[in-house]
Amino acid sequence: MKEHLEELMMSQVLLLKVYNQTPSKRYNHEGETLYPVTVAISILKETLRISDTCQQDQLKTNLRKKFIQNDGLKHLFGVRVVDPYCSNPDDLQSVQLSKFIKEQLQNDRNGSLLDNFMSVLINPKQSWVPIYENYIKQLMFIQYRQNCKRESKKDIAEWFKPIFEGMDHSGPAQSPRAKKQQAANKSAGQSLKKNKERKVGPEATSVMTLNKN
Amino acid sequence: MKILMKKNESYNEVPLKQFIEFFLESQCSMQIDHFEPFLIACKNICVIDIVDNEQIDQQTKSFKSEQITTIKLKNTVLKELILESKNDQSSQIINLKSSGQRTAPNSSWLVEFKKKIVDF
Repeated sequence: MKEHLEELMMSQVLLLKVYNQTPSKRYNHEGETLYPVTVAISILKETLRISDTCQQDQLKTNLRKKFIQNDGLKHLFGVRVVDPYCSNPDDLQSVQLSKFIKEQLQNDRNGSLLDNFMSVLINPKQSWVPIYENYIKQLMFIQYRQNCKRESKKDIAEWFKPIFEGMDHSGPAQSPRAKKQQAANKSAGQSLKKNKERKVGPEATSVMTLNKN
Repeated sequence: MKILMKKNESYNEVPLKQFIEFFLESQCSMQIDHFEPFLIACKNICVIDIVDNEQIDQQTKSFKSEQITTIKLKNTVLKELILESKNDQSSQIINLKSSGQRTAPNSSWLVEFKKKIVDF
């Protein structure tokens, strides 16, 4: 299926290339006048939508990337060359549409077909996910912090102080997320072990008390 | 760290009804225009659970147990945030030391949330 979708998409990119900036050539379809470019965009849009319904993330990104890598945007707009390895939706959104094509494809009833296609290509639904994830994380973590403080009269900084201190002793090379987590796990184990061994001092007692509870 | 997180696990839970109301009905929250990606985001970082909630019945003075549906951050996500907060605190201390300011004591979560939203 992946191959068929890619073939279909590439045939439409070729159609865009052949008929680019040639709106005078048109044909009738059930009483409507459609430009070949318009049909190509419609088919491209549906192709991407079909790929979206497949539950394979790899297929989704591949089709979009392939469209861009094969100068799909260049043929679509006719004027602007976009970095073929562009994968950032923000870069795509800043692309200026060819005024000529935009005017030709403007449909008062359904809005701009080209804009519509671009929104499918950029797939804004996907780009909203990390934004919402951040938003939920922020709120839930604030709630967590406040609950900790209210119920135990302690800030989470105090709860996790022994672990944080352990991290400080383990050295500064902790910038990447994966390394940071690895180091935290290691240092957490170390600090707990140390505290158990010492059995003295306020930090040690707090950890030991927690363990007991 | 796992032990500490387990100990504080209940603080991470929020009733699902309250969570949904906040995001979809509250005027002060960010508008959720795209519901589908919002659900995907929830699915990616949160876990939905059913927990027993015990309360004292004021009339009969006896324990009343009911099941409520809650939502909480996944442990991996929470752990990441706790570790990140450590870095935030370190940089805040450095900033405050350099500017000579003091931290505001016990600022309410709403104030803190609004501040975070502005940053966000």
